Amino acid sequence: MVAKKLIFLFTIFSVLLFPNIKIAAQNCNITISGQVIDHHDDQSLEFATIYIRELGKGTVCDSNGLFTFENICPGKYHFIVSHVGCESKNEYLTISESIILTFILEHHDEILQHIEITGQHSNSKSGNIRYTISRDIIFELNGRNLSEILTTIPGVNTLKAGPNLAKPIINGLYGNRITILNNGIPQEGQQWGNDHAPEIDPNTADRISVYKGASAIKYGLQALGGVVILEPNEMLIDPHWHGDIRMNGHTNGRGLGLQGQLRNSSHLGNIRLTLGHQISGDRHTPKYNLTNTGNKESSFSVYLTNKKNIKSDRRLYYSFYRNKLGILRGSHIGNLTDLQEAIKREVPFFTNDDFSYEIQPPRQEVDHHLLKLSHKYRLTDEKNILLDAGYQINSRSEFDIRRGDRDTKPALDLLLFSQYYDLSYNHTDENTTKSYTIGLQYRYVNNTNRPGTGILPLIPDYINNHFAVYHITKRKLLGFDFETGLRGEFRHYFVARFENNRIIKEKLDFLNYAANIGFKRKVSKEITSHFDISYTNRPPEINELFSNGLHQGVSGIEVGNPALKPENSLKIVNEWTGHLTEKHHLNFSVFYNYITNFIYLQPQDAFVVTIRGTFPLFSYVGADASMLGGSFKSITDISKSFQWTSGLSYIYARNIAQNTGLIRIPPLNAFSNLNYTIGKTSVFNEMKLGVEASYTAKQNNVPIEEDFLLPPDDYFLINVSVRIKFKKRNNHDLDVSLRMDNVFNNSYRDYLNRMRYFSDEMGRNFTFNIKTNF
Amino acid sequence: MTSKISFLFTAFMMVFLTSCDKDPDPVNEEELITTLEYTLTPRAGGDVVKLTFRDLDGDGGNPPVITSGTLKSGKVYDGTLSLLNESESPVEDITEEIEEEDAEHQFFFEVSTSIASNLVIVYNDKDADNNPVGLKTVVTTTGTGSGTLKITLRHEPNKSASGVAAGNIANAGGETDIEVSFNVRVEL
Repeated sequence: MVAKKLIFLFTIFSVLLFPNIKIAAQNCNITISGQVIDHHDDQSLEFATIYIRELGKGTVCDSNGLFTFENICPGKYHFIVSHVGCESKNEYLTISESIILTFILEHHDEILQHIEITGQHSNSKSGNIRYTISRDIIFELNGRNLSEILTTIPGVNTLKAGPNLAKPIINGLYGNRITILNNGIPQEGQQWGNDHAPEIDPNTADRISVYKGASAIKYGLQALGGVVILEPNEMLIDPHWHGDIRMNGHTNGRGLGLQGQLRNSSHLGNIRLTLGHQISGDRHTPKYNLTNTGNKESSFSVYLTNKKNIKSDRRLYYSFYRNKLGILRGSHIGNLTDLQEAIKREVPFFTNDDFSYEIQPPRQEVDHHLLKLSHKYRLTDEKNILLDAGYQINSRSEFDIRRGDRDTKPALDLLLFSQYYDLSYNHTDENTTKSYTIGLQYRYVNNTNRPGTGILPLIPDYINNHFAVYHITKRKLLGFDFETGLRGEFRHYFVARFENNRIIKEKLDFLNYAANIGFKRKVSKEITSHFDISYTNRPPEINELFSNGLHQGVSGIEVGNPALKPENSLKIVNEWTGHLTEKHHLNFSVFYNYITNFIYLQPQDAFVVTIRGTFPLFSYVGADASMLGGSFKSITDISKSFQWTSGLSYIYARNIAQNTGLIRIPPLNAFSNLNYTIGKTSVFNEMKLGVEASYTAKQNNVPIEEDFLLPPDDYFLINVSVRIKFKKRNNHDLDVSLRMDNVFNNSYRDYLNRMRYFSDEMGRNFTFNIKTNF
Repeated sequence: MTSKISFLFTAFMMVFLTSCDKDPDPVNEEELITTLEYTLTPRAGGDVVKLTFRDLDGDGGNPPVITSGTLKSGKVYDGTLSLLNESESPVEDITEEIEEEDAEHQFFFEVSTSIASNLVIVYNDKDADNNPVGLKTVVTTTGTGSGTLKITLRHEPNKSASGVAAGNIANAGGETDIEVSFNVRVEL
């Protein structure tokens, strides 16, 4: 089957590279035949349809996935390949003679987000335990933020601070321990804050993936908990404008969004543009409004690649993201007494019965720019040199309710500028048994507190310089696919902080390293097992070393600890994926993570007396911790139309020093979906009806003395959805999805949402999504 | 050619945008209240009592200095609150800010039950909506006893909520800007 793929790739490449070969005579006797296969198991896809747009001709594959077109004239054609349950594919090919084509479709994409063998494409993203969410699924979840979309992957949760702020938790870790790659560049934002969401619009990506193993050696020490990857699809050569327009709306918050994507290529190269805008007003729980929880979000991106060229491959990517978001008015509190009073309330303070789109303080205003330049030089077919450069500007202004006219003055105003360079030598060879990458990396981060807030900064001004060297190898040995990685990193921190309003400048150096070994083996024809062991030695971040002051959001005085030592994480991940039978698909994953000197914010016995009353004092400390967890997902094709999906994930975490649980660890959750698919009718190509039940248990394994409130009770939610892919009309297709979340309008609170101290979660919500491709 | 240009551009960015020193401006903590002074002047003459809470270095750092007071029984005192930011020079008078935004602020005076009958505090000022503010109060003393007095300043309280205008903090809401406690004695 690999050979078949290669022939196919070769065919495509030869067509793409030599499009101008003239055909001697206009020979309209060309036969195009071929097969449509499933990306995951290389099985043929029966009854897939293939449509040649220019000719208005279509055909349906037979039960072996085979198709034939006869009497075709030479020319350039769009082939649209589709199959029930797959994302349809549009390929533009030059046909000059009879040809055999193999189209690969992503079947079961939404189910077993596939594990990819580290091949050529993923060479730059080492690590082999990977889950992918396709653009098709991103569409169904349109209007949600990145972290919420990621929760469709088993073992991924979100840490929230109301409806607009969510950050991903992978296998129990988040913030400084997760790296997000936006088009290959590590996102540099203020990820230390529990109320700081990643500054990315998921709609700028075609694919979103997660690596759960800590094996992303290339992205180093901050990736010990996992990596989130947003990337565009490889661009296909097609000199016409293609793309999509999507619209979404939701009733809870009266939100509306519009997104679009445009792609084209010419003799100069390829271009892809995305644009998005989304607004929402106050959300509401089943019983009351969540006053001041609206948001306005915009994004824009442009991606340019040069024309396919043997020698060099250059890419440029720019993206802009802006979000202005409100934070529940009733969650703004002065001191510990206020917090305790707010916790006792049934309905939060300042709840306004009138709906509003207005975004008042407390609110956040975030801008993020990313510019990426990438050059790849092919030395030979097997060797290349890759240079990636990324420049980012992150601006974050947080507004509080303040005395005087200071509401318009940010209380926290940060400007972060960063540069990232990665130079690597890649030796990749699909056929021989060994490939490797050696790379050099430099990262520069400059964080400034813009003056004029009138408040002593919680985070000092700083400059970080990181230098890293890494080496990744992949080889086949004794029936195993092996991968090893090694990384050494030197960090130099320069910090200018205030003490008694005097500036104190400090320098700190850290030398750290990471190593991993992973292997993969096909246990049977249908089942693959991955095993990954990694060791990461992470130096403390600036906030862990030098925070100082009142963190409004958490009503506590946070004090950094300059004496902190690096934390050491040993992580073992084992995953099983495959098909138990033809109708039974399974993904099972377990991990064990032992971290010595796990850095976390620990409440101290002392209270700090200020003129505003007493505040609990939190200090960063290191303690030994361990986590054991796993997730499970199974899909059963009950019949041709009925499909049943269910899953479960759980983590057991311990603070070994204190013999208690760890704070903010996701509780057990389980879900079960039933989907019913109706195939082609005269109106639509496919209709899918779904019912989803999810259960989140109460988190009982908590350090009681480290929180203000006991975890909330368990909850059970029912969601329903319909998706209809309509038949093409005037060459435009229409894809509609409707969804109702929290059907029974249940009132509940979630342990991982900081707003649980103040309010319930959102009530029933209808969402609609419309998309047309062109 | 274009790749050379982009390489040069990359190198250019690296050289010119990398600095390695930081010199942040000193922060002027505008909203900081370092000092609360509750001055009690007996109407019929006698010693003026001053309750002060002073924390010159703000949150954290050195603990605040709290001065308690002893009042004479059977007297009527005029109470005046004064808020200062003494970390600046000249010293900034925050009381004016409260006066300007009197509708958005209210002080609450909570006396511990042990001396609740010995020390009675009532409001003696009004905002534009005819609700109390608490910068001015009248304090009446009877009998003897000792206990604590807690003074709280709430920003954006709901002054029309039940009991709030009478000085009951329970339903007030809003954010606490100040919350300080003093030991007080009423003696003959």
